Amino acid sequence: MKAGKVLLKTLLVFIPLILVWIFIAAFPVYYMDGEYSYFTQVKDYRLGENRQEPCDILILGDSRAKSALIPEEISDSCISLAEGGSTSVEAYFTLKDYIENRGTPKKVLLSVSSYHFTSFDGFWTRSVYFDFLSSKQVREVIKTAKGFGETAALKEAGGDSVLTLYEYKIKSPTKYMSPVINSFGENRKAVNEEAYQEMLDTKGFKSFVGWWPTSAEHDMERFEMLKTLDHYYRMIIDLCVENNIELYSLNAPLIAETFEESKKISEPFSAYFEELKKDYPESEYPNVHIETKFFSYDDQYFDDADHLNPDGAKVYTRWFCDTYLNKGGAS
Amino acid sequence: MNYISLLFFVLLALVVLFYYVLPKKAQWIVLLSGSLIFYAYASYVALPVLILETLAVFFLVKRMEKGSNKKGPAFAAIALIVLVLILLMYVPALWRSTLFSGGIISKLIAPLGISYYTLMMISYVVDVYRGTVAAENNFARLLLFALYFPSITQGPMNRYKDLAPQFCESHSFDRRKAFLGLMRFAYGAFKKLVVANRVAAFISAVNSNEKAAGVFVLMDLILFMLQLYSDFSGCADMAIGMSWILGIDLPENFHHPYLSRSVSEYWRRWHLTLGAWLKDYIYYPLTMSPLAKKYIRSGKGSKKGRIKLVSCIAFFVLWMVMGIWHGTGIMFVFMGLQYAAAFIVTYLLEPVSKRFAKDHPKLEANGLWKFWQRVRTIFLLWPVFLNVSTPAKLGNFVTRIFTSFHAEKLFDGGLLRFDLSALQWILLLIGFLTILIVSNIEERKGEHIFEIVLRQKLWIRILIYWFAVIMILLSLSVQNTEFIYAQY
Repeated sequence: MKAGKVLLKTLLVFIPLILVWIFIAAFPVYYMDGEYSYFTQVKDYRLGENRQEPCDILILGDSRAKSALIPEEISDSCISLAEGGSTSVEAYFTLKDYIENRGTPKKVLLSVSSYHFTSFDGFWTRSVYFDFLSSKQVREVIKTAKGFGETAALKEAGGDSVLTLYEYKIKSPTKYMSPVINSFGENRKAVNEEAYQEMLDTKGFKSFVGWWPTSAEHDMERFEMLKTLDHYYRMIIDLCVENNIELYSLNAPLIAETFEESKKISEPFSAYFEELKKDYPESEYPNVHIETKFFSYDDQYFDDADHLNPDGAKVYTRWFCDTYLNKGGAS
Repeated sequence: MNYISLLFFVLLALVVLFYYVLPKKAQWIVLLSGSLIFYAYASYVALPVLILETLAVFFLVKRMEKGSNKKGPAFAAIALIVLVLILLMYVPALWRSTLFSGGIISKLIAPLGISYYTLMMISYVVDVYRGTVAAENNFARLLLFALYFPSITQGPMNRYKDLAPQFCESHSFDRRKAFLGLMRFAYGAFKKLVVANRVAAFISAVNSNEKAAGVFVLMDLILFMLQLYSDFSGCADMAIGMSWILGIDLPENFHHPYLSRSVSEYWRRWHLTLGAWLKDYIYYPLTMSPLAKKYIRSGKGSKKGRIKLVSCIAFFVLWMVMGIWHGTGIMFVFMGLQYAAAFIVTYLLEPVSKRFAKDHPKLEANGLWKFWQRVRTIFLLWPVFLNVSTPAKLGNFVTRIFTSFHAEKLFDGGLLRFDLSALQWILLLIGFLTILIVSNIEERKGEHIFEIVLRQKLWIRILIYWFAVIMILLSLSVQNTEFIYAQY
């Protein structure tokens, strides 16, 4: 009886916490910020949880890929599943889940920028935060990173232990109060629903208007690739080979303004793709096409220093179609 | 491992569970295990070093207690403790700041709580030497004293005679004390999350913006006092609170220091355990040393003047030690000089101020006069040198305050450009007012706010708890920074 009374009083004290926790766990659409809808749309699609039909061509990668390749220009059966801040980790699990839940696509266009080979970037703060990856997948990444001795890099991105994962999974207010507070006075539900619809309408294509004043390559000191990210990149290639998927490993264009100074990064990055090409020679792997060169576009084709604008995306998408898809025109 | 993290809550919950479930004889082993896990998580490389150092001190002190020559082992133990501090804390920092900035030495990071560990171990050696406590017979218990997890991060600094006996006692679960402990822990978290972290976000944004107007730089310097107090005392509250849950009493470390009306009163209210340590192991040994006594007894000049000179020298040494204890940079030397100057001047002017107080009793009772005395004290002991890392930066700050103050920027939305939204500023203000009100109530009533809260009607208590829970929840949106004193 006494214990019951104590428990009741304790519950009474923590009523605000309980209510907030329930709100966080049950109504993310009411408080989540910016990219939540983009990630949710990709997750729903790859798991077959929304009404979009499966496609033959998938675009995977980071925000540069999302803003550089226009699915509708490539094919009626093409969709972009690229996400801002994503690395080969997210791309790998997206493809794997897609194959398991939606079937095997015919082609995959993969483009991950150099920065996303040197940092886990949005692994915790987006992919885990938006519940984009399953617990099993996150645990696997932690294990792999530990195996490569890259726990510090993982920690730098926001955490290095399974405990951090569960802090997100149980929707701990320590992780989610920030968007809740920032959503005060805003109709986040409408914004999120609109963003989700936008992703459905554009089939995952998105311009990033004016976010970064300088390119990632400009800001990076050197190209130090993480083995974990190389490992997952290779796993994507292997997955495509296993499933007889035509893979195009691409490099989105860099801005001309800083192209020369970007060479400190783009040249070793290019060497990495040369290495990759040697490991997957087209004579042995006819379905694997690895683009090793980097080229620049004029500033007029960029929204910000990192992302192409729709005009630039059109030019780049056309170049891709001309070069790879039967030399000129969508297939 | 931050005290405000899920991982720490899990560790604390497990320690509390095993502490009360296992046989009482094993309670200190549970605490030791918890302390070792806590320390290993924070600094697993340093843990073996500190274990070995504690082991060496253990044997040296045993030898000192049993042998006829006490001075040798005592000197060896203190030399060892100081040497390890120098090697692990000062050498890497100095190395980094010199031409030899590369190499493995520059990568060494001072182990967590090494400064506190050092002072606690020195006090243990000296106390045994003086015969005020008996040497510990159990090495593991000495290790627990040295690494006790609630206070290793940033105090309160424990004395062996106060803490070690509590490890040998059996502690039954005391619901009231545990509840008081929980409240104190929550109040510490409130200070840290609601106030300190918000101020930290603002200060960090101002410090990293070299074009910030002088008005924001001045705010930065003023608000740092609030950050330092709420961060440091918040951590002490958490340490004391979690120890109460375990049935253990730690010494108080703060007593509303910003209500002090004089410099000497301030040090009877701020970082009490460090102040007591400096008094017992630096000030008294210096003023009572044979050399000082001999000088005071000598016939040169007036005896009062000689006593004052000895005290001033002791004050100077004491505050310089305090400054250097914080770290290696020149700013810590300046801090020592600032405190030494403030103390020596107020010490020398004490007869004048006492006479003034006696001659003006009405003024002494005047609220405005009291307020002025408090502001003056705070100004004299303004912790500028802890906030600004280099003299050049300080020069830059001062220049900006005097050449580009731009007070109008406070009202044109400029304030909101430093990482805190209007809502965050309001929450910070509410947090600050809460601390102010609690301090005043505790000062007037002479007891902890938690005891007062417990006497209130249920619905009032519930409202207070809800207020605390909501404020803490709303503060989880601000990045949780490391405790300031954890770096010293």
